[in-house]
Amino acid sequence: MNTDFEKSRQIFLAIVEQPSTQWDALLDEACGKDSELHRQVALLLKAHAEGEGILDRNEALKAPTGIYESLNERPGTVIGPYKLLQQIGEGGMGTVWMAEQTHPVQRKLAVKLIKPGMDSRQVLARFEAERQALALMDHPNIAKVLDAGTIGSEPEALARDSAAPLAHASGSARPYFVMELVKGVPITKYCDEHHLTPKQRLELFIPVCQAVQHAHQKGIIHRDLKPNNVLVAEYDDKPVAKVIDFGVAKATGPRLTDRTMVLLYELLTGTTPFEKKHLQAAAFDEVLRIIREDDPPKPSTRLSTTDELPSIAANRGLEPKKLSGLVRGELDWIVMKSLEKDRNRRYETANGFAAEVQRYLNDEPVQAGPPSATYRLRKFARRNKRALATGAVLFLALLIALGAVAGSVGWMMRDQEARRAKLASQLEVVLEEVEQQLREQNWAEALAAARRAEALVAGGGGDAVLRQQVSAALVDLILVKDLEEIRLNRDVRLKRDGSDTTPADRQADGQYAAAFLEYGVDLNRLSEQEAIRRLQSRPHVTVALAIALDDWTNCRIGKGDVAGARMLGAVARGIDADAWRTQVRAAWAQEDWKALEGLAASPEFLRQPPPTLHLLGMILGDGGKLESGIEVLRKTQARYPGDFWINYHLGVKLRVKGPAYLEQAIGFSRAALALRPQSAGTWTTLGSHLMRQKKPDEAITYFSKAIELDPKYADAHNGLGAAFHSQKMLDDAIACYNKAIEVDPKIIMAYCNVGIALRGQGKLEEAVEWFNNPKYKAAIPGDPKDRSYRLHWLNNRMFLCMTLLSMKDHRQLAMAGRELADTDYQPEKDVYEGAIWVAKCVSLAEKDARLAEGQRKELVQAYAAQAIDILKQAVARGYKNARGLSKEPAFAPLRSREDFQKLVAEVDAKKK
Amino acid sequence: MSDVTRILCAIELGDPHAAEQLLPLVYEELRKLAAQKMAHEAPDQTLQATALVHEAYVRLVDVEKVQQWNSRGHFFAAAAEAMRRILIDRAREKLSLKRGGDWRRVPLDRVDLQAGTPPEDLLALDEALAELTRLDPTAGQLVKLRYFAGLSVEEAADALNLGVATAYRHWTFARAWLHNRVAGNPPDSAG
Repeated sequence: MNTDFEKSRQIFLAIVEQPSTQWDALLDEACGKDSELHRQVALLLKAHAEGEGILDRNEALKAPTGIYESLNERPGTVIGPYKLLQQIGEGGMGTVWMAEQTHPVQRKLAVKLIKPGMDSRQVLARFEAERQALALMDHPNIAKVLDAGTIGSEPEALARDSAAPLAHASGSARPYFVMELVKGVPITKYCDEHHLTPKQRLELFIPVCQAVQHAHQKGIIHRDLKPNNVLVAEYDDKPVAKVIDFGVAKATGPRLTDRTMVLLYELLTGTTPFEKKHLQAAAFDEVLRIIREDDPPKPSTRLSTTDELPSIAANRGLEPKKLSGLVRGELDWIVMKSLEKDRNRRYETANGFAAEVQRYLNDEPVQAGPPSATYRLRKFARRNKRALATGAVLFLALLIALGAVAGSVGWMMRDQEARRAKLASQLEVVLEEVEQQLREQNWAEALAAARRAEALVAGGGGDAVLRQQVSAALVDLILVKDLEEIRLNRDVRLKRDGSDTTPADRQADGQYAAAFLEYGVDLNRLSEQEAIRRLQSRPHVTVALAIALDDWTNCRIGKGDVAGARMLGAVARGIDADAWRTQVRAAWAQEDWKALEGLAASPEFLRQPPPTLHLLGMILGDGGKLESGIEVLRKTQARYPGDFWINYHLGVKLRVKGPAYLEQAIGFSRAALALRPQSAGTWTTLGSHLMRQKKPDEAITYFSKAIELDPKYADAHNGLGAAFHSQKMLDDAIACYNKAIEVDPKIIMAYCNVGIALRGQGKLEEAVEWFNNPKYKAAIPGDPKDRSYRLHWLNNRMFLCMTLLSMKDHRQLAMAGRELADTDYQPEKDVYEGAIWVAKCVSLAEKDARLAEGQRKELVQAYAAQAIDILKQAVARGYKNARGLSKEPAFAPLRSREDFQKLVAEVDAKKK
Repeated sequence: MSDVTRILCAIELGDPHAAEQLLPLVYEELRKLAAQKMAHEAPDQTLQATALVHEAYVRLVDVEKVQQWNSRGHFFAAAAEAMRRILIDRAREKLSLKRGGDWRRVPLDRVDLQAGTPPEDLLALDEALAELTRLDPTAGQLVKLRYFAGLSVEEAADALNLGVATAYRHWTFARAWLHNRVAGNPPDSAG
């Protein structure tokens, strides 16, 4: 601090505390001969004494009027043929006015004035393209757009008179829309004011979806769907919802399906007072919380707080409990489904959404089967996807052509050249947008823009260079979309014990390879270097491609193709400059778990896309770092709660972690299921979670649903069998197991289960026959040397032995016991196990009344000798539990034998 | 947890970059709030800038999670700075309007300025405040918190981690100094 400043400050503060009569004296004393200092402090004291300082004038500080641009439109302002009457709305984009038209007809309508600042070249170009499309929308539930235009684009149009045509102050053009005037109230308000039941609400909502769909088919996205933009007015005493304000909102708004979902959610739960940006996330959380059921209701959970429920429910004509039940029920599926992160489907969901809600209404509220409904919907969407997409493009092309025709044919003939030029300039603008979206890595938006460009090209716009640019961008972006779709649609199949490939991963592997092949990059044949070189030649989309490669890598790991996975990892590393992802891929290549854990903890983490994070979680989880892997998946889930794969694998990994985490595992699996209700594998996964939770009743529902979705899903048949089994419904169980074997002869668990069930039914001979069936042995996967093979074989022999023991069939039992010990690959414990079974034959034979005396003695001796022989083998292979030997009850008949005692002594000695 | 709360926590935990993320967030919120207010109130109504800051605080910060004054101080420091920028921008604009710099802007009769704060004064104050902040950062901060974020001396003391008596001394001095400075008296030779 400056010394003079500090000096004057200190003197001032010292003096100012004293009575002002003493100031002069004190000042003289403190400053001595320093006249400048004296002057400064005197001024400060004077300023202090005066009441009217700069700060005093603002005791209640007020901002000057209009921190915000106050616009100069006001009642009476005339815009074209319209005269503004009163302001009726205000949004992020502009103000809405009730206006009057006097010529050619007298009527009232709504005029929306776009705010200044929304007038960039891009916005205006889009506005140009959209206004024509908007005018063509014709749907009873859409407020018709009657006219649109721009004002004030010419400086001479400016005037200071408020009644004169209006212009934005900066002098650039301001678009405006003229729409049908809907004298309604926001849909949520209407519903509450009229105490509509959820059913009535949904009925009101369905036409809204259809309206949105209608718009989509014309290539128009609302982008700002919210209750205030869906007004309900009564026509002939019937409420009719109308969507207003189409096509003028910001392009950066949330995705449509989210919007539709949020709207529905608001409608049903009556939660509106959110900030817009929080709305989506909050509703999302709410839905997830409701679906998971595992979180106890928190005070903030809107539908579970008792004090809020009655009023909400009263407005909905329902008892509180019932309302809560309704919202918790089937609708969750619908809502969660609509949250699926599938950008490419957003043009198709609105109607599907309506259909879904309609099904919900038609079905019995409790027993409604949304998953199957969703399945049908999905199939429909899939069937029509291409048709819809192409349709939209063609339609746009048509529109642009039509727009010109509609104006005037003569005009068009005369101004062919002008039209060309206009198209070309529009094309340039759209291409610029493509570029920008690419830079911002908004792939879906970039594709949409590229398709618009394609439509412009089809309408005759652009020269050869621009056309080339458009088609190159399209090829790239379609690949990106196809790759994203593979991830979104690839299937789940449980990884079976002993099997190191899953059919779903094999299939996805093929799909990824095919997609890249179609693109001209054969990743199955090209060398790493060559693949990198080729993919790098498309710099705009390499990031998207690398991220897709991460998911492909995940599939290859699932498929058991580690070398292939590593190759993809190397290619991804080669084309993606992102430092964090590069480090992850490199650390994985070196199996550096510590580094991977470090990367998972870095703040970069949250900026990364789900496929890469998913891969990281899986790598860690499979690499012996289950904890870290789960942590990664958890963090990713918190960031992307709507990502199916993250929820799914979090569920699986938590179950692996241990029984204490089963509850959580079920929660995430439920979320995954809600995101993909048509996935048979996910239903099955949840079914087996529930079996572990000892809830076979519930599990039966889940396995049945899986079978309904995919009748050839062997694991689901097996699971269903197990559920029946534990309910002691053994006939049903066996039928299910057999079905599982029929659809997949390699499903080893089902074989074992059939035998166990037969045994449970008392059909011992059949069971024995089954365990010895060569088909069974042939179904054991892998090689006899493999651990998993041995386990399955051990399983088989153990259950056989137990069955034979119940039958008191010592001859066969001794054989089976010997078999247990009789391979070169059995570990000492299994051999020991074999000895126990043979030893049990000793007492069985002793009690066997069918045997003649001599025969019995002979057999007893033989069994005892065999058992000891096997035990010797076990010891030779390393068995060293002397206490086990002397305590095992099965060996009681052997204990008196010298050779047994010798063996025990031997093991004892070895131990010491 | 809201973004702002998260940042406040990060500041508490010693993240050196967290504080700088705060300003843009608060700035945005204040602009938005002001815009909303303007839309709902009659055009001639004036806005209480300091009330806006407090509303922004309630909206942006999870009050249950942030009870310590330390992090509240960070918030209000950012808010005061944001509000300062907004007000100064406006004042500049108004001034250029008055001078006929841009005749197409909002007509003058609609920008009914608060009697106590002509834009000239505001700009002068800001200039003086910048100088004060350079010479005595604590006093400068204190004035900002009071003037632009509407904190009382006690609250500002807490935010700046000062004793109340010290804060009053700073305030007394700053008030006199700024008054003197804006009144047109030349800086002391050292200033």
